[in-house]
Amino acid sequence: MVRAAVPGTVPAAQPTAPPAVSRVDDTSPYGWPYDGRFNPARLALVLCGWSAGWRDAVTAPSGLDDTIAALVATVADTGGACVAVAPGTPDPRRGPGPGAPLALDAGPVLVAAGVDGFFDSGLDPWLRRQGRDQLILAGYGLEGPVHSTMRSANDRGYECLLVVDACAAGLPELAAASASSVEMSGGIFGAVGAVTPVLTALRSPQLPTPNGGT
Amino acid sequence: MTETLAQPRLTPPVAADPYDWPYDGGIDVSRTALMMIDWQTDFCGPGGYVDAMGYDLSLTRSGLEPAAAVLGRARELGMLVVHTREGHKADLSDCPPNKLWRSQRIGAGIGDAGPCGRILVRGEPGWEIVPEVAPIEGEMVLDKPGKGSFYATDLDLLLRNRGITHLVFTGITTDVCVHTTMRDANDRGFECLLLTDCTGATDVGNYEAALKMVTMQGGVFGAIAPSSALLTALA
Repeated sequence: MVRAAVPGTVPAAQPTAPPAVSRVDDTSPYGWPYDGRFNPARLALVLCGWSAGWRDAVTAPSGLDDTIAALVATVADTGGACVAVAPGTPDPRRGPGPGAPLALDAGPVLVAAGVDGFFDSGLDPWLRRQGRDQLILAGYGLEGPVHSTMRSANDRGYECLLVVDACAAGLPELAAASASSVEMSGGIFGAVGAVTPVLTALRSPQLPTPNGGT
Repeated sequence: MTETLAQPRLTPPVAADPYDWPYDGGIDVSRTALMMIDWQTDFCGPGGYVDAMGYDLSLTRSGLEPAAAVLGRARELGMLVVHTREGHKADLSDCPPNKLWRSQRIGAGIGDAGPCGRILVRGEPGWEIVPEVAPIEGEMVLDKPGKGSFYATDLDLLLRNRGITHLVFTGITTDVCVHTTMRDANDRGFECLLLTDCTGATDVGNYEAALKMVTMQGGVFGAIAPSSALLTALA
């Protein structure tokens, strides 16, 4: 659900203007995005750890692949961008081997030089060129590639939402701290949310559609 | 500089987790830097940013004394010391709008006046490094606008020019600026060690998890050890 705009504050109708206030429900520690202007035209789903090595190194909750597939399909259908990043391995002696990048139909699969999806991958210019400054992060390696990528995105000014139930942790006992570390200090790396409210927000009729309708 | 002609003398390895650090056998002091991350009043002093947010300062101060001891030994050995400071320009032009908004929302607005001057602004009292580990002449001091120390800074170039390949970390907070910098350094090929008693976080559980994250998967971001193990190796 997207929060209803306060009556009387909706700007004069423009074909592509988003509603005055639009956020994803039930995100913590604040309603995401911070500016209340959730907009698929500004949105990118960034799938991290998108390699066989990381997928095999994590403990995936049941149904994760279906969850991610639903997220990809809905983001793509509603005008959001999809991109995945396969991490490189800085040191082959430790960490998961990179393995082959996984496939993604809805967007490119970039290859990073490290665990951080922004490191030497072309991800930043890819996002900037398309005007995507609202990022939804998911994938394999919640405390690994997902966290490293979210940290880098946040330092670059991207507004980030960690979708925890679309992530697989390497060590499931670290999942709670991975979320908590984002939420501290008022959302030090952004906000934390869940898949279902994201899908609901994307399907909200209040949002502009890619072809300009509302 | 005649000593540079001699074979580098390696210390014994540090007893560390999940492997004895460094991976290549021992510490070459001339190729190792001590990273002192964000020991600023804003993060561990009364009246600073972390204090303004209402967190327990003893958690972020707990590593200060052992970090000061490691700093003292590094100075004796002539090891490169790098101090980092998070802070923004006075006009906040290098502060992302969402970072500013979040800080204001929890009552610790970046740039707002506080007991130690404007919060997280360069040159203000709260932004200064606390006296216990304050830099001395000849040590690098690196200013950064974000959590990581590599983004929008010249740290990588400075370290490469000095031939640094190995980094030892102290600082605050464990799960935020220390971890982000260690992750970035590891991606860039630096061999990293985090000193467990020389760091702290605003939440104990997140501190412990951050240490565990380093050691998973054979040491995906490097290794961890108590400072006593490092000092033993450097004895």
